[in-house]
Amino acid sequence: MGEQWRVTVHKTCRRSGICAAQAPRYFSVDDDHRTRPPAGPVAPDPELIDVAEACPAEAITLTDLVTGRPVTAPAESAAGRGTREVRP
Amino acid sequence: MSIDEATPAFPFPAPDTFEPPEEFRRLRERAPVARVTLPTGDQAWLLTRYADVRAALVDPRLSRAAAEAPDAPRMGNTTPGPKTILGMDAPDHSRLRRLVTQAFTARRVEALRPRIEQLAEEQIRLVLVAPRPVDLMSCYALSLPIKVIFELLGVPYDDVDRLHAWSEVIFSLGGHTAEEVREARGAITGYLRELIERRRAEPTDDLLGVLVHARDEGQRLSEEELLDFAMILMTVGHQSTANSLGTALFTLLHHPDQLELLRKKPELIPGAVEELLRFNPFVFTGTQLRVATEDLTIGETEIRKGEAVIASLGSANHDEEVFADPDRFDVERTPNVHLSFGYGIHHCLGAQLARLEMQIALRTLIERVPDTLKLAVRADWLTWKTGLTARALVNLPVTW
Repeated sequence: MGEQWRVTVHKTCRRSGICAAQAPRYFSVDDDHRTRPPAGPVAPDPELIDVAEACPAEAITLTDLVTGRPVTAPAESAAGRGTREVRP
Repeated sequence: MSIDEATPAFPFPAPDTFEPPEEFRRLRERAPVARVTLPTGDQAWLLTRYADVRAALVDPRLSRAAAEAPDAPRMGNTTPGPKTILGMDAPDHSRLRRLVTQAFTARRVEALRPRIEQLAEEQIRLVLVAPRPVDLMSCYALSLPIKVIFELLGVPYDDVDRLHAWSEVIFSLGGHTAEEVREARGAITGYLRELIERRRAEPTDDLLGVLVHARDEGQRLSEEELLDFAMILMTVGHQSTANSLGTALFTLLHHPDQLELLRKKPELIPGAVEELLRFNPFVFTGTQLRVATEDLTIGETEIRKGEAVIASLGSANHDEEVFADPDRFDVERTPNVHLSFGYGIHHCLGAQLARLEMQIALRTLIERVPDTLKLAVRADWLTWKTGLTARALVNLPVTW
């Protein structure tokens, strides 16, 4: 068994549809207009990190099922994005 | 089955400007994918049903980038431009959006609350001492969002008069010629180019400073993209919020029972803002036009590669399939899954900020202005800007 992630969409979801547009393989919208994550665990995929970071409501979290810890972007990549220092 | 009839001209005239055009309802029932003729004479497919609109906005075959091509069908004299975030598809769009996403998340925006409350308080004092009737549009709805976005971006407030005049032309609210739009765009870009050079000499941690840093240190966007991004953030950032806020205040004054309800139960304000956004005539003209990059089918209509598609957010917001009694304004409506900020990758970057500004502006107005507040003239005497991009109030005279 390799590493697996659980994808969660929290109640803070504001239905921007960004995840459903960016990664339709993982996110769907049901008849209640709620955004649904994948039903079960998924294989690690950097695209999911991008989608989680793009969510304006910060409603998507990824959990590493082996360690039980949240998955975040590697520090190097995060620094390279140059957006961490924003102080509006 | 689509109804074969003469292609109507779009945007539709509105019966009394702030209510949705009748055609939307008729098209949702009879021709949800309808051929329309645009002011330029070009043709487009107009989507009016909620489900079709939402599906189109997440469909990568309906491209914003293709709509910026020189020979693409056009709505009017203004398009955002191929080097703007609004004129791009993935992956260019994602690259630019990522640069500023962190500044616009719910948490970041929430941190701005004390400052926005302070600005709202300053503005409401001006309203309270001004001779009545007071124009809420200029004294409140316009000035608050301008101050917020200027501070966020790092644009000097001293230059507000020029920048606002140019952005009015760029938004083409008054029906300006292509030449006038080009000139205003040149002027605003020239201004921003100078400001960016100053940022290079003296780095700052405002949003413009962050973009300059991303350009110079990370090569994450081109010079042209940097300029256009700054222009979009500044113009859209204040125009859409100001116009939506002005219309929201009008809508409440036009529904005194609902305003009264908010006075009694201010905890309803966040939900009221969602309903005000759903009702916002700003989006009656639809979204930015998209162009099909391959043949596709929507409902039972075949759309050919190269044809234009307009997803009408305003019509979707009044779709009776999704919203019970859709033409009723109800601040307690829940759930409220309106599409006023768009949907999918182009979902409004500033949505959380706009929501917060509107919530604070409403609360401050309700708390500080006496409850005899009312429109100073009959609603049908108000003047509306009905240009191509948006629909908004020119002024909003009130008294108490």
